[in-house]
Amino acid sequence: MNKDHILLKLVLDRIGFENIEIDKFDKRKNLQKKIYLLQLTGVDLGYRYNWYLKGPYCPALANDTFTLREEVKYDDEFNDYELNSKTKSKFDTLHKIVSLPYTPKTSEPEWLELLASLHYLKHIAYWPGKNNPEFAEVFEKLKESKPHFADKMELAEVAWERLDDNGLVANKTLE
Amino acid sequence: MEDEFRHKIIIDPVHGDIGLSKLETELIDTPTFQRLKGIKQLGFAHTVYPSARHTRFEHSLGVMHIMGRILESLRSKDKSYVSEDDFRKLRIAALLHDIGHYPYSHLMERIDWDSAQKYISKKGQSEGGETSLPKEYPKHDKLGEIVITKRKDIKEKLERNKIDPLDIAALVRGQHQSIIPNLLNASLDVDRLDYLVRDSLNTGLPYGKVDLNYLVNNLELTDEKELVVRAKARSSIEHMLMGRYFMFNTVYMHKTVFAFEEMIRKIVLTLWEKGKIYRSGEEIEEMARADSDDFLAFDDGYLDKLIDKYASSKKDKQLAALCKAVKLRKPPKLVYEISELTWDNSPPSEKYTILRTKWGAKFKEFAKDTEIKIPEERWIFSDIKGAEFEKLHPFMSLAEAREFSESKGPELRELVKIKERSGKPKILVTDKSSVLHYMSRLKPTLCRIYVIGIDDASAGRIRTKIERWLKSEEKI
Repeated sequence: MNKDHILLKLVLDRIGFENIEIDKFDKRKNLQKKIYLLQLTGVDLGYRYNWYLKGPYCPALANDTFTLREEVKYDDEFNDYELNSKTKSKFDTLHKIVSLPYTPKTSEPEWLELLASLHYLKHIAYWPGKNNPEFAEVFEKLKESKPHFADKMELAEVAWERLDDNGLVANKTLE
Repeated sequence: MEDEFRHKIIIDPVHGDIGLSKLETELIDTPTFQRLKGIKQLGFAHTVYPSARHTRFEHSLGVMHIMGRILESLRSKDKSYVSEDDFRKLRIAALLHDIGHYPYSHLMERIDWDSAQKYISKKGQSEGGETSLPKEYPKHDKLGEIVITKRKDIKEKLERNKIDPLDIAALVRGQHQSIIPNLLNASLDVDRLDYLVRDSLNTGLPYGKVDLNYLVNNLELTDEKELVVRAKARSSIEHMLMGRYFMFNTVYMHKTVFAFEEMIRKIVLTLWEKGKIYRSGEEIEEMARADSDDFLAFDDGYLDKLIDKYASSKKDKQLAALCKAVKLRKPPKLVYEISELTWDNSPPSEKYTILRTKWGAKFKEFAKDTEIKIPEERWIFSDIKGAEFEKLHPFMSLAEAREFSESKGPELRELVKIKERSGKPKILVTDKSSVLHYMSRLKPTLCRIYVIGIDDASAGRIRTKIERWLKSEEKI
């Protein structure tokens, strides 16, 4: 098992995918978004996301996760390794970012999608005239490509605030 | 508008006349674009197919030409599909899509940085100080973004023609929010349509020949601006996807081409460890950004010169042997190979599993074996993900893909869609009447072991030993 796969396995264990059970679409979506947000904290697994109509997505992560799921059936080398203490501390930050708000009511897939999409639109996506956009402009763009968020402005504001509290409005990443 | 793209004509062996606008001509004439003439499209394929020396330069022209043809075809059906402004931008994005490529295309970009070591440690061992690894080399599309948005000769030409370089860079990287369709990053994209035909022509192999005219004339956009192929052109698209599979096996993954490329990767890693090439991603980015000649010289010749220089090095015999082998066309010998197609994610063979899990320890014994005696650094083990017929999401069943819904868009993004006679779009691989429905369920695996600097007799001896070992393991 190569080191990249060992790292991915140890990360998946920490974010609730110990058995790599991601046959359901929502679980796959959660995994995609959690890795996206984890990378923002400074654990760079090398996955680069593109926006394709409906949000940030990384096909390479899907392929690696699939390969890993097959690999762990006959290779347990990852058991010889652990995340180092600096890396472990990043998961506290991730937890602060992704924990669900008390209000408004939301689900994990929706919340993660919102956090990742707002961040992506703020810092990575491009549109003509874009110049360090504030919430209102980013939310407009979000509604254009994800109409199902059109009536979720309050939730989007909470998500924006969460990103801001964790330094991810002012900065693209935390490292 | 038609006249705008007849400012200059270039004759191309694949497409015939390629018309250019004034701005496109100016971009092609920049030193930065001319650099692409020094980067071979197929890396080391010329070691097997001697005429395969075509470059990223002519490929880029071809991609732009196909982009123009597809956009024209779409506009002939409905002008609102693509505005004139977007038409210009999409052609330029196609022209510049490979502008950030490294010497020998992908070879130099993929140094084994072992960057995971920053984040993990072996259990029971102290973590030690923080490992400080240099920043990895940027991927070629990221480097392309830097070239388009920062490098003077390209950037200024775009700006003078009122085209925002950020617009073009975002299109190349698939990050543009308003200009669609996605014609640069999908199963059916302009990049693939050119390279299959061009690689086929230049290698002399027939597999990549694509029914380009019929395909181009039978493309449409959905309401969501996704590209679909009319049902009547289904055979053309099936043929293209199968052609890609065969080109992959016979050219891109050819055992000797791959062997040379593995050897080059070893050379690049050694040069990097010795500080003889750019040390970090920052240095590469700076070189691309700065208006200096260093980036212009950063083509295949950059690596060729290093290989020439170190082939006669007395200080590092190992590196010298590798460089000499490249110069004299002495590829590593393939001593063992397992190539399998598994059906519907069924597990690979026992042999493959043994090789994958035990080779890491076993080859050290082989290296010391008195009858073999080949130092560890001369062994190459490659576990390669083979070419698939279609990029179906690995966790998605065909039944799930059939329930085509918007929310699943990203997972279905790269798949070819057919516009049925009823007008509804359908994912090709979910159609049971398509041969691709069955082909897409086949997953290829490929495992190879090479040894550098041995003759056929030694290769035969090693092969026999590996076979014996695998047999004995299978019995356990």
